[in-house]
Amino acid sequence: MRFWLALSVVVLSVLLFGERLALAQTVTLQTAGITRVNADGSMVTTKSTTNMNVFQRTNAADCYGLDDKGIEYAFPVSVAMETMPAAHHIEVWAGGSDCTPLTSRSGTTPICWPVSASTYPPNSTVQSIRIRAQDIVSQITNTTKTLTYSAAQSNVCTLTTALSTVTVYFLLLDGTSNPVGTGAAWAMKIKLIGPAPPDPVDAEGLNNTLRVGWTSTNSQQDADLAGYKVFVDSGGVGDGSTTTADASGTPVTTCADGGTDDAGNVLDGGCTTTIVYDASSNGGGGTCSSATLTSGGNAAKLTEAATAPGKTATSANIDGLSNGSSYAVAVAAYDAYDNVGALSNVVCASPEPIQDFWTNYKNAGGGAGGFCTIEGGPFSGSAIGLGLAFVAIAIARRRKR
Amino acid sequence: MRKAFFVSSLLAGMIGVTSVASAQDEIVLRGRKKYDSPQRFALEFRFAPYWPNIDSEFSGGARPYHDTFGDRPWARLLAAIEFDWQALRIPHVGTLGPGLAIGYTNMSAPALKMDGTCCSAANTNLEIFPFTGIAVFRVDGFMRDLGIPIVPYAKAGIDVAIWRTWNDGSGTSVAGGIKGNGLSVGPHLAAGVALQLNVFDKGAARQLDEATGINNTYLYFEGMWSGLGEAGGKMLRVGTTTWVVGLALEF
Repeated sequence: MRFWLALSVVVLSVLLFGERLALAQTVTLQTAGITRVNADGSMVTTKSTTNMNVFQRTNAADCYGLDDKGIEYAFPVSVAMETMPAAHHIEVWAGGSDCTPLTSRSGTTPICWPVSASTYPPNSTVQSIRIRAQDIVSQITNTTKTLTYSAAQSNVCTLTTALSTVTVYFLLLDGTSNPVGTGAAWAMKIKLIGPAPPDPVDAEGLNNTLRVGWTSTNSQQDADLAGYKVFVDSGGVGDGSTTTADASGTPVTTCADGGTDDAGNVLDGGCTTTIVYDASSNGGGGTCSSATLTSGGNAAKLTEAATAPGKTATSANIDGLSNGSSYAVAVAAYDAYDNVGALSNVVCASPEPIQDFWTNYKNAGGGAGGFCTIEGGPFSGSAIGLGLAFVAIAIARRRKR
Repeated sequence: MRKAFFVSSLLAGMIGVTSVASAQDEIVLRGRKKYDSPQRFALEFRFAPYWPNIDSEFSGGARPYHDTFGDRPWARLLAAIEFDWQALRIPHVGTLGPGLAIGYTNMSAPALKMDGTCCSAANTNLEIFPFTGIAVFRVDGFMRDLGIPIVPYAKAGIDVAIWRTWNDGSGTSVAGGIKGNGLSVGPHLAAGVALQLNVFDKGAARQLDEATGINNTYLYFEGMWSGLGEAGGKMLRVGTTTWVVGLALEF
């Protein structure tokens, strides 16, 4: 009788409390609450231009962050039950494969590395665990992982590895570093270098605009290429062979002195009209230099003047420039991870007004224009479509009769 | 008496022209079968080389249009669609009624640099969007009564065109503070001849009529004059004298 009573108590205890024990062994990561912060604690506000989930990727800009300290990812973590042996704690590791087994984090051939100096209590309330991007990146290429945590520096951001997948593990461990229950994991894509620059790059002057064109190289044709950014520097210098220049493009007329005749009348020496621009326009020869743009230079911290999304983009316009002024331009490619690659060759060009049809017409003395003007672009398609729709309705109504 | 009777009969015949509501359903003429569906409308698909008369504004030899877009009218195509209502049928003669056409053409060429040399990186463009309201007189008596598949016709009306000029990467061009867009109005005259295609396959033509109500199909050739902007002033002379070819349907 006593035996059966004791057995009943044991069974009942397992049923009542066994499940609670299982729940207490689960680390929960609230993925919707993950944030990115700078080293100074301020929120990272930059967004992806390629609609990539910025919480699941680390690019070069993330790795460098502000003042080369890199950003941090704040992970909201909790454990189901608080009551457990005092030695239980949370550790955070990173690796390309599962870091849960002790063998992944110890021995002579570990495959994971620690990304936090601290251990964390297994709290049931949510706690924010901040992990540095540089620490996540630090040992990707290390054949032998260092099992002692040491805060990584910005030099790890120069890794030229291809796209890597690293998973951050939030492990509940006992006093001997053995895993307890189920940890949480967060997979991330790591890519720190952008695509190769296009080559060659050229620039032509339009009215208050530079049109920059380029040819993409074979090395750029990878799955990550997402588009191009164009950078401009107004400090560009051409070869300076300008004689007379008028930035507006207005013709400059020079009349020779024909002297006077015996009666004192002024003689006509003849006049010539020229339009001369700085010879650096249209990339025509000469030295082109820039204080901020250098071929092969780092474009990650520069602000682009224009963006051309898409792998097949081959040109972009930079508007709002001054006619006659010389500008240096360069192009860099960017990838789906928002990494901007190195700068292309630097070319100089000057915007200049063009002689379009309307200018020709007005210069000839044409009097049209301004009569019942209608703004907007071509709308032939919509109007012809309306006309066709009207005809289709007429045919359809006839067929019904 | 006879003369009076003849004249009155002729007048009665002309006055008695009917709209194409139900009377045409009963028309039986030589070469036509009773199965023909009513015929009220015509639809034309129109294609023409377009060379606007912009340079005609200048008597001193300036040719800004020619200098910009060159001398290849064949490269500039006007595509248009015209819808006619054959409101009146004059027995044994033809049809008379209003029509409306919508068309589009554009020209594009590399702009010159300010020193006049070629070429800038940007193209300069001109687009013309003509609307036409016309009266159309088609003489299909030869076809309907004599079986000759030729239908001469004439048109007269008014053209209204919206036009705009701009450069690649920029909005509407501006020169001297005046924008390069506007409206031009002018007369429209045309005459042409259409070849009925039903004669080449009467069976197919009959099936087409039964299935879609299309009575006749034509290929046509037309000479056209558009006086858009010829009145001058602020209107750009975007009219032209040209020939038109296309496909026409009557239904």
